[in-house]
Amino acid sequence: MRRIAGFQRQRAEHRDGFTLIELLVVIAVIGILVALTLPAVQQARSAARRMQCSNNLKQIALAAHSFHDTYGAFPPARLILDTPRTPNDTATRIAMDEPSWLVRLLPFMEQSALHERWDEYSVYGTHPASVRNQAIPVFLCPERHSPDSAVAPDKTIRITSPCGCPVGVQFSPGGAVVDYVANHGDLSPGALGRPTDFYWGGNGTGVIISSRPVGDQTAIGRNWLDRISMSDVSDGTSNSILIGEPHVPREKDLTTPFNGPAYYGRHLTNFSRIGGPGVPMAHNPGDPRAGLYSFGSSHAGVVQFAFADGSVRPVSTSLSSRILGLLTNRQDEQVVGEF
Amino acid sequence: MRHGVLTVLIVSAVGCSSDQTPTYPVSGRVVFENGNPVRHGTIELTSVEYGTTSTGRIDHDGGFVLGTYTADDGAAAGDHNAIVVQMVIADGSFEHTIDHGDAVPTKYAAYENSPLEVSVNSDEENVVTLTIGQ
Repeated sequence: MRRIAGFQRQRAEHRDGFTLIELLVVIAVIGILVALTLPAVQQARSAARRMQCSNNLKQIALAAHSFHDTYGAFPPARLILDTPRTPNDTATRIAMDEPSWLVRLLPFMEQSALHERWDEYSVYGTHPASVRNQAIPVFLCPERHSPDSAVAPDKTIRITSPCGCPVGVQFSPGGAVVDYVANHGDLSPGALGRPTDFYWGGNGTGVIISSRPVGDQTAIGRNWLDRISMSDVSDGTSNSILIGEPHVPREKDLTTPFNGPAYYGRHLTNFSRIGGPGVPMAHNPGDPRAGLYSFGSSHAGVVQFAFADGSVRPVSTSLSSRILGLLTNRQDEQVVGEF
Repeated sequence: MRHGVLTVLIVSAVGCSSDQTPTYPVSGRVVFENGNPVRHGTIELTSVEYGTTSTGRIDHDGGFVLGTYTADDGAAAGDHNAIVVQMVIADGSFEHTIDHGDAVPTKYAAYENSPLEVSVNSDEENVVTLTIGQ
């Protein structure tokens, strides 16, 4: 009883308030609650970003369909003719420096004003920086880039010969990057019987592939030769991938050839990828087994794909490479089954 | 009593996916018949029984480590068909400064043509050497 009396007297001397212990307990409780809810909040934010990312994919697939309605074919990933541009210049091939498929889609994505400033049949580097650097939100996955951080800078590459002697300096124009890539097919050998055949015009087994321009080295026409239409997707449009997400190792962000200027037709992997046996999907951005040509994503466990029928589906990163190959190849004539 | 007891239970749910095929560590080397290593490329195994795909990067000395669900978890037990794929594209846009060594014949790049087979044991460390012929 004396203790209580003493305590009450002590209390009376001070103003009412919290003791240090009570304060610490409250802070601890708040801390624990925040620790419990924060991961959930982050997860919800990540899910929202993934949703936005898949919505953009859908928009681009719809734009590709509108393009198909207008031209009777899906756009070519880029133009390339396996002939040096001039006899002395072995560093580039005819038409490969012209803009990629993404520029051709602009008028179908309410970007006509920007599209008017592009010429699909003139060299990328001749376009002003204000055109090249124009990042478009629909072309970006919020988990990877925001429009103000999606421009790869101009680059000067020093070229050395095998002896180590400097040969010259090559200027590589920068530009906006894009987080969605065309399905260029798998490694099925084309005309030359090599796994690298896909690279050249007309050989890709995907839906949006490199095409030869109309004409030859003496005169290039303003049209393209290898037109892939819905009827060429003989496996069925719901069994063939149209557009996917690229594998970009973390340290290769905004860097050619993983994630460089995507309107620039020269570096195929900046705007298109392949998949199948020998070219696995990346399980995550740090996967050492995936390479420059692989599909991949920044989402956990899945890569999102738009199929040629316009549907968008997430596909598990542990999908077998054989089935991935059946999905990327538009004309393998094999049954895919459940995936 | 003015002091209560606060008990906080944190249950961390760790997802265990049981639909994954068990894998066993596999590493090895890819060499040509003359003993030279294959200096770059990708090796891929597909399990005959499970259909799982295991992949490895071939390093500059021909060495590789296989992974199925992660980068180095190995491959499923049993027989596998194997392919070795190399991609060097000479369009002039890149300066290839490293030595790519000899080229692997293209028949090794597709399961239909590749004669390579690998057997994975579940009870020992699998170290395999694959020899690339003509």
